[in-house]
Amino acid sequence: MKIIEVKNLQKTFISKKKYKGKEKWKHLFKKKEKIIKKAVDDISFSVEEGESLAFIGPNGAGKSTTIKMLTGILYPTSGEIKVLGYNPSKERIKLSKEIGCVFGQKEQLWVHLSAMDNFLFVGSIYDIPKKELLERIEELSSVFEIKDFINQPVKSLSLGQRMKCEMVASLLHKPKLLFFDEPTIGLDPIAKETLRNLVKKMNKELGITILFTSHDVGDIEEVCKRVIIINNGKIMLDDSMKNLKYHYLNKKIVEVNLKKNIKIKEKEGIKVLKAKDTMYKIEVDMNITSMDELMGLFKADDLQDISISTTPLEDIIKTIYRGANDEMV
Amino acid sequence: MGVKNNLFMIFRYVKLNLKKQAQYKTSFAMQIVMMILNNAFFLLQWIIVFNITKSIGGYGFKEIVVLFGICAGSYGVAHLFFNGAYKIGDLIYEGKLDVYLTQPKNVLLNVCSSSTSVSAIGDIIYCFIAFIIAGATWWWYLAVIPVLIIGALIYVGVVVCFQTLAFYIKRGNAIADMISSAITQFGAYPPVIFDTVSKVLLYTIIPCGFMYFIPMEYIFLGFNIWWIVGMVAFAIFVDALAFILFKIGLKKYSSGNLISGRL
Repeated sequence: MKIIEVKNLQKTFISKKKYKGKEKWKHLFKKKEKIIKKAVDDISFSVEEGESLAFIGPNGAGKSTTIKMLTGILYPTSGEIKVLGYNPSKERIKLSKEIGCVFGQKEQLWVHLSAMDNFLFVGSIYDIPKKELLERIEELSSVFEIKDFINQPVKSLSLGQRMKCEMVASLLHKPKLLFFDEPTIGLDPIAKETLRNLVKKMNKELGITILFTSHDVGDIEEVCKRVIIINNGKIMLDDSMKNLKYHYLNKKIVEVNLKKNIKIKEKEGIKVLKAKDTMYKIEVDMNITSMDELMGLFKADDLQDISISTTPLEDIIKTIYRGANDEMV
Repeated sequence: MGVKNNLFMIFRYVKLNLKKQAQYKTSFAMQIVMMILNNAFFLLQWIIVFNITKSIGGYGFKEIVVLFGICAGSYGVAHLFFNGAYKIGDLIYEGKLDVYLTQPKNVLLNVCSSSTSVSAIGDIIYCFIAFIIAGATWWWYLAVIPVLIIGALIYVGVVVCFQTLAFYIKRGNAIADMISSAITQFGAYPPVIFDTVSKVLLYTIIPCGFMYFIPMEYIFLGFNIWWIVGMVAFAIFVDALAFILFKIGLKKYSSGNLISGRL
């Protein structure tokens, strides 16, 4: 069953041109030129129930704008959106009862109040009966291990504890779909790991569909099974994480330390990234070059040390961001 | 069910906001006391005026005390329950409506009731002190409660109508602030001093007439169904207009990416 269906979605923002210096005075009483920016440019995709999707892109790519249209925060300029069968612009209230949002940069909790007070308040916003709400808080506070600080003011909690509370608040009404917009921003590695595990747990055990945005590749690598990369408002890649790794992780980085200085000849599939004294860093495209060919570049006797690693996923994503994905395939 | 749940939400907001601010007990009490004193100083000016003349167009000290009491009381109810209405322009300008838009409540009602002014309690207390000073009868106390609620609803409606300008004009809320200030300032003077043009304004865009002048007549002269109908009809008109303008404006809303939290 499709949870999200997006067809030819567009969002444009119109602003007025700003003039500087003398130009500013010249245009004081004139109609200012309009600047139309396509934040989201004709994108289509769908998400199946139970999926965990990473929706990533560089700053200003259009990912947050897309999420805001999916949640009913922004009205689309054109195109169709169906989330859980609802049109977010027209059926926002019905939709919001079935989705949850965790924004890393926008806290929903009242910082001067305790987490418990916040949960009771959120419960009243979602019209959850008191008894049911208390049971749900009890259940989630065990899963998220927040019992020790549930009665402390949110302002006194660490960022990691606060994010856990944000997640509990977003789960009180049992949403079917959860939007995470950079939830791990500013967290230390341990807190990040805990949060990632909890998101995975929500997806696997509770069957909640996850749409996740993050600039941290570790987040998406661990949490998501599918990735959509968006840049300049257009979808540049929509594939499973498995395929992404299979197709794009064909480049190996070989670092060798030889006994003597030699000249390594570059050819198709072999590129010397760095050469200093007897140390070489070589990028090898395994689709073009075999391991034998690689080892033939130097004599085994000359070899002092060798290490072979895969291109980090982060570098691959950076390359895709730059629009050079065609070159990589 | 919807009305009940929305009322529950409004009272829950007030409770949480007061609980949040009551953490600083001295500051909490000071805000209330200072507001009562601030309003009392206004009466001092009128005592000086009425030492010179006995009445202004038939309005004596007693009438002025009641008029300003209603004015402060309506202001208090509006700011106690719907203080968020006065911040809508800033929220629109800074793109901070996102949280409200992801919650299953009417956005405008949610935003308006999300904030509470503690000093508004001082205004409401002052209203009743003013009634005691004016020698109120039991009818006055009975009549003033719906009057304050209707007045607050009109006040909030007018403010929201002008705050929604922020969807179209940067810092459009400055006009709303000006109107809001005009409502409290004009409402504190006896209606007899205004000419026809001013009165047109006072029964339209600065509706002190429906908020203070008619209610005062209603309190002094006794129950009159037509005054009540007039006030309620105007409140419904203004609030419906506010909801419509806000809904239309929301299509223009461009969310922001500023890091923010609820304080």
